[in-house]
Amino acid sequence: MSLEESTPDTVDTGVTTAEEIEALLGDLVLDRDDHLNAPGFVVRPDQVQDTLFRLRDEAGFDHLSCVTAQEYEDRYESIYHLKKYDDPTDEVSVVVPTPTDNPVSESAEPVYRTAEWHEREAYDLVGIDYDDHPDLRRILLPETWQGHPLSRDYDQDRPQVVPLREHANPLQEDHEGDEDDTMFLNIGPHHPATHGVLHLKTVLDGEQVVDVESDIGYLHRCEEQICQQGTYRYQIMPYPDRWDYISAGLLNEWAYARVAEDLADIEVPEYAQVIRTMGAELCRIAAHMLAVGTFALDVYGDFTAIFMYAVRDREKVQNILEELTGQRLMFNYFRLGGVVWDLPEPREDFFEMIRDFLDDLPEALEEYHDMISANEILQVRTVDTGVLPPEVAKSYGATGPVARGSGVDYDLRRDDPYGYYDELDWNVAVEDGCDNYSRLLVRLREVEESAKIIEQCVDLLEDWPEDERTIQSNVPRTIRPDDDTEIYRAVEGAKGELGIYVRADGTEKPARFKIRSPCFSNLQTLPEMSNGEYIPDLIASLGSLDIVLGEVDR
Amino acid sequence: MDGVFLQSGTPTGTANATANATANASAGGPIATLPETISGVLGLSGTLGDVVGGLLGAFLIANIMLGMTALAGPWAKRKITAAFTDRIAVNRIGPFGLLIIVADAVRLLSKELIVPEGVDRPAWDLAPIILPFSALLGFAVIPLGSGLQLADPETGIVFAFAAASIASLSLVMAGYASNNKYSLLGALRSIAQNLAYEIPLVVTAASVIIFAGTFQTSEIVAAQTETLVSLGGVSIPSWYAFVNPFAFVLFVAANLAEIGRNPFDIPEAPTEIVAGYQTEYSSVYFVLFYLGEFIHIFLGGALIAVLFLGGPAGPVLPGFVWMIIKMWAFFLFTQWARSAVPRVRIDQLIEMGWKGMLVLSFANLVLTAILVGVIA
Amino acid sequence: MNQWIAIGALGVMGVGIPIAMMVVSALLRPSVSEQGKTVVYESGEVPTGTAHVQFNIQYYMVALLFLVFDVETVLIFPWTLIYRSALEQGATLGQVLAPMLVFIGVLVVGLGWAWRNGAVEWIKSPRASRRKTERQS
Repeated sequence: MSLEESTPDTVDTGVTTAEEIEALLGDLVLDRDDHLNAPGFVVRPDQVQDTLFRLRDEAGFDHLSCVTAQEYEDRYESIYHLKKYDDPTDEVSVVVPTPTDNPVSESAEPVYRTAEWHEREAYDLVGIDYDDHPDLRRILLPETWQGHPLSRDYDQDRPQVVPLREHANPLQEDHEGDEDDTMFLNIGPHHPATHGVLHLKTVLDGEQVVDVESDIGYLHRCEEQICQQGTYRYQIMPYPDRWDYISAGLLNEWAYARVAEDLADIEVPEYAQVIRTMGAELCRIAAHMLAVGTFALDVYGDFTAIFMYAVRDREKVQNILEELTGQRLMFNYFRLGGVVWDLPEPREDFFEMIRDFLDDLPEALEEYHDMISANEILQVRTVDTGVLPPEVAKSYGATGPVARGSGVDYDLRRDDPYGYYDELDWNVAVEDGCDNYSRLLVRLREVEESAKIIEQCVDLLEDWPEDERTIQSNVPRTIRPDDDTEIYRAVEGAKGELGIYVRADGTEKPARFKIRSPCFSNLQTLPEMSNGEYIPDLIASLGSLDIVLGEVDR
Repeated sequence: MDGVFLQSGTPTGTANATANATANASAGGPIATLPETISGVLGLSGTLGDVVGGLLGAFLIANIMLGMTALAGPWAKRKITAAFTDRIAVNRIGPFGLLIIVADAVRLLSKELIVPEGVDRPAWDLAPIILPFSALLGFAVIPLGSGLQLADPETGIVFAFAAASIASLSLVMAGYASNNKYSLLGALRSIAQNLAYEIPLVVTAASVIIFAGTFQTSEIVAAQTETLVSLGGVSIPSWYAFVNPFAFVLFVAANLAEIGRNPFDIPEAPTEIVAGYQTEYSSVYFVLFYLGEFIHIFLGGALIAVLFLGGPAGPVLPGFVWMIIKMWAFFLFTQWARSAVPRVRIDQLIEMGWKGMLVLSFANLVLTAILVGVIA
Repeated sequence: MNQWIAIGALGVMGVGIPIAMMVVSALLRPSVSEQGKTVVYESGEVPTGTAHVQFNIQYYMVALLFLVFDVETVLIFPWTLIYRSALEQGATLGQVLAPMLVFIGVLVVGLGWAWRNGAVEWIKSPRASRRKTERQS
């Protein structure tokens, strides 16, 4: 079960094997509960912080990728999926069982800041209480909601009334005796710059932001529960398209494909892997184009040429994806063990379409650099604003362009290879400016890298022998993984590490399906970036995070 | 309404004809203002002539501005932005979609007026009147060419600046009376913006006055008709944009701030504070803000034309047409900036205004004074 | 004097046209009384408190300086008006230029002093700045 690969360049992270971790944790470990991806250690609910501190500081597990909570018949369970930013294949799971009648567990927030939101979600949906948590409130559901939807005794049919109330200024009592006042301002959910239904509770002192808190959940559809009600083989695959719906569909589908294929031990033919890689990178370009366009919109004003230019280029990608998958938004193109159909005929025309796009892309990117990144006013606006230092980014579990814009060299495509990425020649774009400008540059450079990948995939696909074009391996009609197999797998989505945890219970549907959304973790860094900055910089930082509320709220 | 149109229709034609006759020989000699022409045509004199001529002239000028705004707001703005962003924009109603102007006017005027809770009533209602009022008032002293100048007082250009500045009052009233936090932020920003650009704008204008030696707009325009240089038989007039291009650039930049267009559309800043001071306005009040803003843009263009581009002067075409062309050129410029330039932050604008533009405008004033002194 | 009658007439038009438009609109537009829509817009949430708060004006010092400089432009204007004609009538540069240079010089020194003291800047809110995440070098 354990993963023996230790990277030679990581000096401080000597501990990698399960045995070594067990030795490190010593008597903190009650039991082993290994997952398919990582060794799992059961610890007491009141020793969570000790365990995590030890794993973080002495074994180098600096990335709390995800917190999964679930209820069994006899207990609640919180699972902390830990990774290393230096080597994400080095994983360990910390399993914390709590009794049903008293589900109280120690919070991981003092160790990893990102645990704050993850544990709030666990409390909200499953109903586990976290001791020592700074602010244990509901996060996705309204404050007045009754019951915890993913707990066993929840009544799905009970109607609930949700009142709309005023929000209180969290700093109101801070300025007793001060002469001036802060102003509490709701930005969103219906605001031009929140990219969806995000609600920011901001407290302003003049033009500056004193305090900002994201209020999410307006788009919560309980995607996890939807997936738990579908069969592995066919019924889950359409849903990932609906998480990050900004044309990142294939990247999301790959997250589910990867976890289910590893769970059920399904091989994917090489040909299908190349198609997947190409399709996923096309999606990444489309997603980044929109991210760059809307970021420009946030900084420039109500109407800017760049937005339309970005949408124009995204449109070309959309057309290619439409040719490939038959859809423009909800692709549903991947299947377990491959893809649903081969490239469209005639293949030459399809390849030419891609090549035309790739030929025009450098010129288009040059245009973006002329109009955005080389613009002096934009530089004045974005350089050194929304600063997110790398250590803070790591603590919040930031991934994707947000982490890479802070100089954290972390990309699952390279560090935890899947698909065809490790056979191809490309680079990870990293900028160490830590500011809004760096995040913009990372996205623009990633588009270039994606184009490189696509070009190599097209070359491969063109020369692929006709009799070896297997698009799907032989997969049984129903998939029933063994009872109590657990797995957490992640891929590099458009916004960062998109992970899925699945627990099988021997049936053809997952018993627990947990989505680790990159936007969820990335959005958590917003107060760090924006407190003390001006309102326009708050908006720019939010734009540079490139969140999709469909994925944040799930 | 129709009756008035008919009444003013006849004198207009004559006014244009008479004005055209005098316009070409205008340099130096005093030109008859529009009310004088009108009262002359009607055969009225004394106070009655002044009042009737003034009202009819004012009505004409105001309607020219209304017409230009109607063209610019619902139609030209969309078409220009669309051209910058690779789109087509309005093209369904009428030729080139021009009838959208009528459709939009009816649509906007027939929208329900929603009065939010807790607004400061008289101020909230007055603000939308003051904005078009201030912008329109500035046009009283602008020579639109072909004799279309309502008044030519000795303090002309200073009056235009004063009138245009009233607009900030409207924005502050609207923002503060709305009882809306975005509006409040917009109002505060509009004051800050006013503080940042007003002095550089006026001081730069003062450097032009050093050349012209007069505040009277017609005289400023007349002073620019002299030939600067002759290039191969074509004489370049001494427009102050050619004489002092530095001041011209400075003035255009400050003017963008004065009319609140990109990169200085900070009081509105749609992505930050929704619509700033006008967030709570709907129906006709919104139309009035929109109208006022556009007249303000045109006033900005007219001031630039008068101070730096020789006013209505230009070859071949009549003066009025040239003036319109110059004002629309500035309008086009603002829309170009809107599509291409990021918005600066308000604190950056304050620093730009005080540490950059103010210093530069003083340098410009002193250098101009020295140069004029040495050459003269 | 008749110049100002015409300007006043334009002022009348400037008020009259908006009022005429308001009247036309009042005749055209519907009025559906319904409570919900009179709530002040705050991104769809129920507003907390009113907008009439005591608020941090971060350009307070700039506003004070503005008064000084604005008055001074009023003093510069008459000078620009007579400057050229005075020179043409034989006044020397020392008579017409030097006093103004001294005047502007005093102002510029004042501006420089304010600049050095950080008065021509957006005054940062200490409350907000305290909460800022600084870059760790």
